[in-house]
Amino acid sequence: MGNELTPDERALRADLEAAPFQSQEGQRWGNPTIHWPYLYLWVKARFIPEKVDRYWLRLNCAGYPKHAPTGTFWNMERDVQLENALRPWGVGEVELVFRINWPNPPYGDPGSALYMLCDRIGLESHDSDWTEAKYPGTIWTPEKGIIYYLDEVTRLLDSQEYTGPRGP
Amino acid sequence: MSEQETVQFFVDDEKVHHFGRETRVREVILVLLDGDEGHLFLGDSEEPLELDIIIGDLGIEKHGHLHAARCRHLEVTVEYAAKSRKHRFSPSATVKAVRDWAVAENWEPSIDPAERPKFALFLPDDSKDALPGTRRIGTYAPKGDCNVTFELAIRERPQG
Repeated sequence: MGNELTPDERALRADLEAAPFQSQEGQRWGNPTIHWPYLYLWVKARFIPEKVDRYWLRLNCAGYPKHAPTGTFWNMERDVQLENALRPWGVGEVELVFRINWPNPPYGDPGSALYMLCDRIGLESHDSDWTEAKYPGTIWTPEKGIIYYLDEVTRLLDSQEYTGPRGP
Repeated sequence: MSEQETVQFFVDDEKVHHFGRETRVREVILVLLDGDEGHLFLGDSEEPLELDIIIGDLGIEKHGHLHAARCRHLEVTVEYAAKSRKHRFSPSATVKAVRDWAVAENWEPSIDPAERPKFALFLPDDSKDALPGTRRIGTYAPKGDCNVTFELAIRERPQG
């Protein structure tokens, strides 16, 4: 009594224990830790000499999988949003998704979510009819699950458009 | 069978299988391909394992990644701008590897190197979902067919 998992946490834990997540643990992501509703884990970035090769994420997974996760890069030592200078950066889609001038109240503080349609804030801050019509392949659906979110982040971090931490 | 006597494998990163350490590669193939003969690829290797090797000799401590395929090679066709290019790949090659080859091909109109990250591969009958770059292309080959066709197109990208 009192320690029973909520349906959303139970659903997330089930997905973290399934083969699609487990098969990439230690490779494309790792060290998942849940302090509900938050999931902490690192994601791998492509090798760039003298640059970090992984970043930590903190994702709020409340309502999962009906509602998409939302979150951002995280400073695990200080338990705060990763400083802008240390945030992964680049050009094109990388610069847009990891942008630091969005969201704004009431959706959140700048940099507190990722600008993509599988992020809850990315979804909620756009008209749903418009996004479903214009981005049918990338919009969040419960069937896609946490793997899709992590696939998108690691795809960007493995892209030639990613250039390393943003810097001062 | 105890856990020490088996090795855990992720098959196409989708399913978990356990095989005894004394199991030969040819036996693993029969299980994964529903009784058909074929080839077994370990990890990122594009060369198949020898059929008579036993699982215990692969040097896997915790778990391994496998892809089983009926074809040794796949004839890959990529279509873009009403033209097509063909190239032979191992079934264990990733979607990203094929995409990287495809965007560097000499198309008309040509694809500027700076524009290449915008492109993804799609299945011809589903232009909506970009294929995951980490997926093995062998998972898209129809059973009994060593040919696979992809469409090259610009993926959906957010706009500011």
